[in-house]
Amino acid sequence: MTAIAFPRVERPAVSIVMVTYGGWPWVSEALGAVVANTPPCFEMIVVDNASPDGTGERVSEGVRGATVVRNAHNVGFGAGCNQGALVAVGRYVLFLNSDAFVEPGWLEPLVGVLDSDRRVAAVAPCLLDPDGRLQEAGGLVGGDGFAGQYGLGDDPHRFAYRFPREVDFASAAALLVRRQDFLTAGGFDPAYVQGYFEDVDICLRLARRGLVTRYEPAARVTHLRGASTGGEGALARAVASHPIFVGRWADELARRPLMSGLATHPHRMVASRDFPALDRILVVAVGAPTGGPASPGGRLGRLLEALAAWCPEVRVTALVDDGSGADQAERWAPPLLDRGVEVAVGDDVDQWLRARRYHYSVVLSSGREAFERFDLPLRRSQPQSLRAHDVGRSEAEPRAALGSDAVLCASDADRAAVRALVPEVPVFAVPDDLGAGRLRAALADALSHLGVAPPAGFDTLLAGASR
Amino acid sequence: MPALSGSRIGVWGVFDVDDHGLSLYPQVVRRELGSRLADASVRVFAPFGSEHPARLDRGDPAEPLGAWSPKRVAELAGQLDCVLIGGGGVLLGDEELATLYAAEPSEVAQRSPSRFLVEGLGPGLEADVPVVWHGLDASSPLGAVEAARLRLARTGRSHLAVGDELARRRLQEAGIDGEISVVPDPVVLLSRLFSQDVLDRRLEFLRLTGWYPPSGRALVVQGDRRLLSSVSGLTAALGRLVGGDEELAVVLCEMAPHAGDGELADALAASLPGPVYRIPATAAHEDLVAAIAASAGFVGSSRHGHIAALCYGRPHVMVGHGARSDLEGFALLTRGSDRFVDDPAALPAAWAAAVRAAPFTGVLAALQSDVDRHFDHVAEIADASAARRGPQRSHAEMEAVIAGLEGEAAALRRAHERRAERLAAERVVFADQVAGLEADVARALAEGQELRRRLREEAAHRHAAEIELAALRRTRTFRWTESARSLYRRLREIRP
Repeated sequence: MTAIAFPRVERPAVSIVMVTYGGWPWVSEALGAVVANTPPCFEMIVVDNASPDGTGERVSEGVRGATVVRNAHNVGFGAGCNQGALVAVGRYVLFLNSDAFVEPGWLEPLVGVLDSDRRVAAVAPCLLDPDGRLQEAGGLVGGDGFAGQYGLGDDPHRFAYRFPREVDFASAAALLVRRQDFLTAGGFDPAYVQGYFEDVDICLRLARRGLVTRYEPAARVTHLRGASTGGEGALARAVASHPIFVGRWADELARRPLMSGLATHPHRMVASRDFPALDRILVVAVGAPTGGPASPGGRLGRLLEALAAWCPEVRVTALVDDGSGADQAERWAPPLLDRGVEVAVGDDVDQWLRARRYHYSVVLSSGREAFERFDLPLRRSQPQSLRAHDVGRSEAEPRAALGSDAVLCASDADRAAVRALVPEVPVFAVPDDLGAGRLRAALADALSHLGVAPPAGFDTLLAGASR
Repeated sequence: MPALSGSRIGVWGVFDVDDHGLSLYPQVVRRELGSRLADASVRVFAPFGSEHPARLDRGDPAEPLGAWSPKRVAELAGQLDCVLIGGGGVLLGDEELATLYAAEPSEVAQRSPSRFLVEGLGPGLEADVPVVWHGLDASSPLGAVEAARLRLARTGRSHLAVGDELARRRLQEAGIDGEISVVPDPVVLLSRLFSQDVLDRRLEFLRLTGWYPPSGRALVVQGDRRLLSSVSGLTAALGRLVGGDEELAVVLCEMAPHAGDGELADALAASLPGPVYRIPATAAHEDLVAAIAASAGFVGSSRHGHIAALCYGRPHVMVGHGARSDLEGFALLTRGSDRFVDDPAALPAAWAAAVRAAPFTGVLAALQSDVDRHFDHVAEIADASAARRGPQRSHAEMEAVIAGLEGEAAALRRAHERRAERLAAERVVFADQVAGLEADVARALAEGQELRRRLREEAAHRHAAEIELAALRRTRTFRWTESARSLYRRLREIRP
């Protein structure tokens, strides 16, 4: 047997904890993937739960450079992870299932999220099935205690799964946490001794402390799913843990949309996905958000960036119907996706909007063509939303302006012209040829008028913008 | 007058070793000062800090004080409005610190960490940046050199507090003049750090791993290497405590691995009869606190173990080791002289006294009140320093207006969040209803279509039947049988 050797790292930033219970073939493959695809910034900790097939011995004998903890009996996944976290010395702990295979470049994006945002206590990669289909792009928790995997079985290249966002929970098959926050929250709850729901539970406990869990699609891990927990009886174990979870979190679950009946109630999926978002802004356009400084597309791109940066708790979605498909959108969508903007392109706008019925707080139409293209579908599917219309540098079209709760334009001169046309509609000058901070400050009035939550440190934002 | 901007507080101490008591101190300080000074930034420094990561720093190590130099001291003074030097080990010399860190004496001497902890910023800088000495650990008489050093460092430093009355007397005997306050170890506030929910969860974890009895009661036992010579006595005494009680089991733990807690635990594990449980040295704060909080009681040499027992009302017996121990002072402070033993043979009687004295509610409340007052005082010092050193203050009324606006903004934001949540929920309800209605409508439409189809079929059948009837009527058979049919009709009318 070829030994698996982990590098010796004096001060690891990350402690990777893997709990094993049998399954040496995929355990060795998973460990090998870590060695092959991870820069030397980590320590490896394997906690063996008295594997019945000699996996514990094989790890002890065949793996060099890892800390191995051998339990005399099976204490379960959660308690095993807790043991690993106790011997960890890294700033962050990554829990990795023994049937999860990391891909090149997987760890850096996850660490980057925790390094850059103290609000985030846990972050998860995009989980893939072995056949390349999506397994989980973050987890969803429904009001009925349903804990599901967003995007299960779908194409991971779809834009819907390629923007980072705050999630209810993420599977501990691959989950990076701050060691401090994990221990302060009490670690995984051993009450879920049969497994399942302990990851949902810890993420909700972190949320109760004001910390968030994020999904980071730039990191990818392939997961066999069920191999590490034993395929047989997995459903029974999940069913056994479900009442414990529902009993502990009844108050929290009562606040959430149901996740059952998706066939007849498709809107519940995105309602659940966006539950953490305080406000939801839909921007509709008929041209790609690209182009030079004075172009409508360029203005749209900068507005989208400013909206995405406005407040991390606001969901920003760009629905673009320019007649081309997702392939063409690959030219301009990725930078927006990376900033957390959900991008939607496609043919059946009506169906897309029906699946998001009554979902958006604010709809911003970018230009006259967008207003004309989307007005009727929006009246049918988003009658509750506030409507804003951006005329940019163009002349205002009366019908679009009159049909809006607010009009945005590019300059004070434009503002005067629009107000002369439709004096009863509030008009806000949002010049897009400013620095990013000043553009956000210019948006502040408009967004506050539309009831969009101001970010924490709002007064600092304004103070900074005036400099 | 309060500072406009937040005060910048440095907490210096030996927080970069794996020692539960030492590493809990900055957590308590951070919490208490953070709750008193809304915008304060509390930075924790230790001799090596992040250069000597400890498991108990949980990935969030202290900042390194670095190598001592006048430049470094001035740099720190420029970044801070107030310095709190505290926790254990403050009076250790560099050689003793080298032992604590298991480092080369020359390396530690080069950094000279004791100069930060004892000399602080020096009288010149301390005139502008107050230094509060808290919790000086004078558990044994000071040597001449040590005393002289302290007397010199004391000059110009008005805030000096020790953990108990015995420590105060020792400093006074060493010629340290001026006011010396007695402020209990702030770790007596540790119950504010851990929610009961977390402790319950960790206790369950300890039971699941076999580190704690799955049922029954636990006697948590700890000791350092100075008690190794007393192992046989301890074994006999502990055996008497648990021997007659089948529900009571010993749980060994380690509060400070560097002090040899593991060595004593090994020795006791080998000598104690009956089932003996053991919590590993890698346990988190929550694990040890959970273990003690749920226990029948605690027996040991760690002051912090006793503090945990006190905080959760558990009986506890302090075990000294012949030489003067910091526990004597703690025993005096907690009115627990009858719960302090130097000789393990006295343990059973002390245990009985401890059980009688539990749950220590009054003692704990008094200690916590003293510590709270001390933190109030430290917060005032820090805030006044920040106000004096910070930007020009506006009028007091403006301060109040700003505070009011901030409160209003926070309230508005909260209200908005709830409104947004409610609206989102309502939209989902609407969408649910509409989806249901659409389904109903779709069904109704389908039924209507089906009815119309059947109606059309029936109409077609009737039409065909009418055509056939009309054709039948035109036949001679039909005409010829008219009279018979008429007669049959009349008979049917008479006899239906």
